Amino acid sequence: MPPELSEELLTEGAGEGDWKDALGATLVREARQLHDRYPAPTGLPIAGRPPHRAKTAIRVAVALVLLSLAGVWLVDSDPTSRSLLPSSHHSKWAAQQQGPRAPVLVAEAGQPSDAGMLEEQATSVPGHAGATDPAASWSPTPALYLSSPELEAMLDLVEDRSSFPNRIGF
Amino acid sequence: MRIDVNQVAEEYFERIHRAALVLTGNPWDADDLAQETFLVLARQHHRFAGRSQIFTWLYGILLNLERRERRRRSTRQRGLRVVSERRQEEGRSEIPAVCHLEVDEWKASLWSRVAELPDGQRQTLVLRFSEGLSYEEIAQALQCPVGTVKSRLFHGLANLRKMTHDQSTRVQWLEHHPSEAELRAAEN
Repeated sequence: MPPELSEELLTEGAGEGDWKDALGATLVREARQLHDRYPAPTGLPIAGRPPHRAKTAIRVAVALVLLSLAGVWLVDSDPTSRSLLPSSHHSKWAAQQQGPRAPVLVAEAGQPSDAGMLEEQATSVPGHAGATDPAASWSPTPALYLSSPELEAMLDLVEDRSSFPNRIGF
Repeated sequence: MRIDVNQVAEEYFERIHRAALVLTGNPWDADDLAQETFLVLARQHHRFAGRSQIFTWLYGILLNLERRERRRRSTRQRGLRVVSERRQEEGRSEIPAVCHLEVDEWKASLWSRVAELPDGQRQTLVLRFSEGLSYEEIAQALQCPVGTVKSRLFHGLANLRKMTHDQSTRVQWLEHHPSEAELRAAEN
């Protein structure tokens, strides 16, 4: 309240005795007493809590950042190593969906087998040196990992079979 | 029109809090109301067209918020009153938990009587006698003609006078007319 106005109202009410001015002067005086007794708190009026829209915007921004990070990771990462399985499972072609005791066919990366890439895994033989328990590494999710040399070797094998004469004509 | 919300808050928070204190009657609700006013400013400052002064616009927001809160509170108290009457019918005489948080200074002042006036008169009296606004500024804040402001001011003061007169008459009547309990005590 501008001080000159309040003073004017106070003196008006005190001097003239008009009921309107007297009431106005009383209101001015009592408002001033209240303001002096309970002053406004100091500091920033809007502390801490952001409005709801800001919260939503923050959530959307975080979700976008996470999605973009996931996209970058999918594009840049090596497909052979992009797995949540342990690293010992990489570069193996395992027919694990048949069960823990099924013979597992493996082709180690960079070492294509002469026998058409397929060899029975020695680890399926209990007691073999270096053998691991297939039950421990069995997973219901089938996994197929092939490197380029392995794929080429398989394609060669298919070509050989199709070109082999299966009918003898006279 | 661009507004620096922080600067406006620093400049006018005290004024808005002062009006809120007179309107609500306690510093806690005044804090909430003043903060709510500046939250509305922070969210909707782009709606300020610059046709009025920023503080009259702020007073307008404050008064709208206070009117909404008052209606919400009266609805809740009506509900509590219904519960209280039902309990009395059932023979239970517990007093409903209607909280009167106003501070004693406010309750003893004329402003507690102003709080009983209709919205337009109450708001006009607050802006005039607590905030010291001119008729034109009050008209801007309340978005009404200056003539309406003068009329509300006159009727508000007249109603206030009637209320205080009735109250003083009642007090005088009570002073000269003892209660039934006092009469019984005198008879015994």
